[in-house]
Amino acid sequence: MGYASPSKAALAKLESIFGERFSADPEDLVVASYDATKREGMPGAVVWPISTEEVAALVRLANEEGFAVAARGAASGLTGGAVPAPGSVVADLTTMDAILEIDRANLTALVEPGVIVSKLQAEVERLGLFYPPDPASDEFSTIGGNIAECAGGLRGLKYGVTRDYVLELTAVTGAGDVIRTGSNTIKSVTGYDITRLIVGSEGTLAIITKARLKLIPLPEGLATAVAFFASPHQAGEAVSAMIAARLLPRALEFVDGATMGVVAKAKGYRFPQDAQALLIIEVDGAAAQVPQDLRRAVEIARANGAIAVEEAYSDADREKIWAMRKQVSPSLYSASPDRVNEDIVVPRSRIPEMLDALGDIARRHGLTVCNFAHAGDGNIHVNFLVDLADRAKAEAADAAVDEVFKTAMALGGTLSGEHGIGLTKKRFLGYEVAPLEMRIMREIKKIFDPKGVLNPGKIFPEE
Amino acid sequence: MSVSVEREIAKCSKCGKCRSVCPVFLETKREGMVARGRVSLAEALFRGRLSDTAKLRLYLYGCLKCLRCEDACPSAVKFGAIISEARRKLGGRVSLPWFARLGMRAMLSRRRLFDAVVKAAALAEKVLPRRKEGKVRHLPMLLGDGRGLPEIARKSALKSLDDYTGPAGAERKVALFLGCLVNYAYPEIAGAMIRVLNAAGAGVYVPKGQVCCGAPAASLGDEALVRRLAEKNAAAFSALGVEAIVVGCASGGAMLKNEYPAVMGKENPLGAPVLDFSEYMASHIDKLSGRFPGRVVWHDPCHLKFVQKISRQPRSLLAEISDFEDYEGADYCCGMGGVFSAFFPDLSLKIAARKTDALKKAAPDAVVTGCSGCILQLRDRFSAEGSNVRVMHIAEVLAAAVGSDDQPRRDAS
Repeated sequence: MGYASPSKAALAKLESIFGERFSADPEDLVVASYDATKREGMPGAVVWPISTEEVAALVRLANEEGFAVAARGAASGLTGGAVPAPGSVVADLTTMDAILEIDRANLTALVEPGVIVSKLQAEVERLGLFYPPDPASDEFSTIGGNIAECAGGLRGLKYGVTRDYVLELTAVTGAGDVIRTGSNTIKSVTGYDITRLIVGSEGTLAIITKARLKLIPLPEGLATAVAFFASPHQAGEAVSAMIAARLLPRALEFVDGATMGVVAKAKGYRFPQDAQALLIIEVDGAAAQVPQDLRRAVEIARANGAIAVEEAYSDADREKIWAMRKQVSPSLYSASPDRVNEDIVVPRSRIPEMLDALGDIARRHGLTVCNFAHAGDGNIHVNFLVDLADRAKAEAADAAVDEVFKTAMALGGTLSGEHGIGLTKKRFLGYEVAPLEMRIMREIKKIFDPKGVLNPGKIFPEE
Repeated sequence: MSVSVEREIAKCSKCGKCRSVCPVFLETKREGMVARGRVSLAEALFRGRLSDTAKLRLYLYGCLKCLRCEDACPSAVKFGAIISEARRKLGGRVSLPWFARLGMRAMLSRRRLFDAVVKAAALAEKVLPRRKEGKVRHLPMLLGDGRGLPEIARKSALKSLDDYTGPAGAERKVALFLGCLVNYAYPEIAGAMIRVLNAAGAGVYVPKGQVCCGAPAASLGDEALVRRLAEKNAAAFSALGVEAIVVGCASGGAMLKNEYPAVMGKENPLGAPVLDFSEYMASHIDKLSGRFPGRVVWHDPCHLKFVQKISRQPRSLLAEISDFEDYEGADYCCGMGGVFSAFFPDLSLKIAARKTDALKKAAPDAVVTGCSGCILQLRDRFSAEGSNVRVMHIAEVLAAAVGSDDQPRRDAS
């Protein structure tokens, strides 16, 4: 469905609703046009709502006047979910950033969508509580954006992802109605689970204006180790062996040899000679149990061929290991003009096969590939390092990505673990979602958003 | 747009991380007020997609240039270079009244004229009511309302200090770059730096030909003026044959270190390495004896920590001679930002409030820092709140620790 920019009359109505929190100045439009994909869509206006009622008024007006609405948080997403369809009115929700309640008796938090994830984490941790989802963007991404994209992070293996922590939502549907979904209880089977439907819907079903999140007690102990392997296969075997041994580390981060090379070069790290993969293992739990668990994990790593292991029990030593891991993304940014970045998932037992296939795909297309993974949950971040200004390379990357998705499907995997579909992956949706299921999804969209005003152009391939 | 700036703009991956560190963004929550947005705006300006409007100027000038964003950026984008080039493009059209702009051009590059104007301002102080002992309001056209500014010294540091202080045959000799605030408002800091440097065995030149570092001009995008000031300072310093040029002002040091080689097109334009006072003293830490009484904390000036990458040195100096503690928010901006506070007084005060809250929580006997702009801002804020927290330059703390004041100080009056 195509949308025109809001008419003069519509802009005037918006201004009367939002006052100074409305702008159609070109400067404000330019800075609401992009997200971390660097794709752009020039909006027709920007508003900064401060209440559910204002969001509802905006969406009702969109239905009356026939313009589209794009909700926006920190715009740090990696698939274009926050890139407005041209002419849309952007609802920048970052000023709705109150933590309304932390309920210590029931272990929940009630938040507005603009709350920064790390701010929430810090606030609840002060009370001995824990909000586990930790996307790499948690210092600047918003809870609203995390829910809309179902953000994951490093702790998915043990603690799950954003969807596992959303109990209740207040949201504005595409028709402009305010709905409340879910329940402020841990158990609830009262009808369909509309909450989960909205989580990960990328702003296409409803705009989230309030969320009640589940919290858990903060684990008291933490210990971390880094193990180096001569082959990525061995690292993969170690991961499978740990899980088979009923160890459930909170993080099992894999980094391949090519990525280690880039980090070593960019940041001056020196890894053991012959190391072609590393695993970061972090365990948490009762203080007395944690060192034992880490030692067991390390034994398993060694039994599977680890050539060197460093264990860290103090915060300072743990920080050193994570500081190295945090250099992965920045190093890749500076290693080439562009990186084509996908976040496929395969069953963890298939990780070695997938890694082999990735190496093979890159070789055949003459590309450099760097892989790192949340190995515990099979989520592999595939990075082709290219200069997209070079047409031949850009086409090669395109073809390679297509093969990556097909291979992931063949291995029983999924297109996206935590980045969503947005604009960049919508043409691949049919690889995973069959026509019947796709039709169900489209019908659901129509129920929430009959006129299709919410974030058009995302998720579904062009018909 | 220059090739290098085009490359820097292309490097921005639009990840949004700068939103987590920018003091201006934290207060305004507007994408136009954070590096990612400003980079996009600069690009649109260079490509002719945006024209020079009041809003564009608000977004491109509403930046402290603290460069926290550069420090945090995963893609290592040189944001400072982008914003400087954008301001040069807007240069001459900034919203300073034309007479202030002309006045600045004439004044900053001519010491005698600057002296005369400052003297006139000092006279004006006498007829204006004092808000608080030792603080007055003046230059309202530059600094907005409600700010308490330091009293202008009866005699500027350059007028009261000798050309050279120290033993004639000192094995090490350094030259001191003062900066305007120290020269006119805080000459006692200059005296303290000389005492400490002498105690560390260094003879100290204070070349009288030195002029403003050019930071205000750079902020406003007046490159020609920056170059003129750089050349004057090069003439004053380059023939001294010293081992280092020591700077007691974070912003001045950042200008001398980073901007001068660029605008003058040569390495080492002042003829000797430029070192921040704490940077120089950290390698002579063994010369310190004595203690400074009381609990002290350090305030990281942005232009020291994020531009010059100096944060460890002052801490080790303070730990050596005092009861030093770190605290949460030590590197949070004071909100001064040179001319930023003139254009955006309200925003400046909001940013300052976060800083003073952090400092009040730390509750030290003295807040120590290394930037005269930060000192001005923090003293003003504490005084406005009726607090008696002392704000000191690190040279003053070290001077107390090296003990005897056998060296010249501020013209006692």
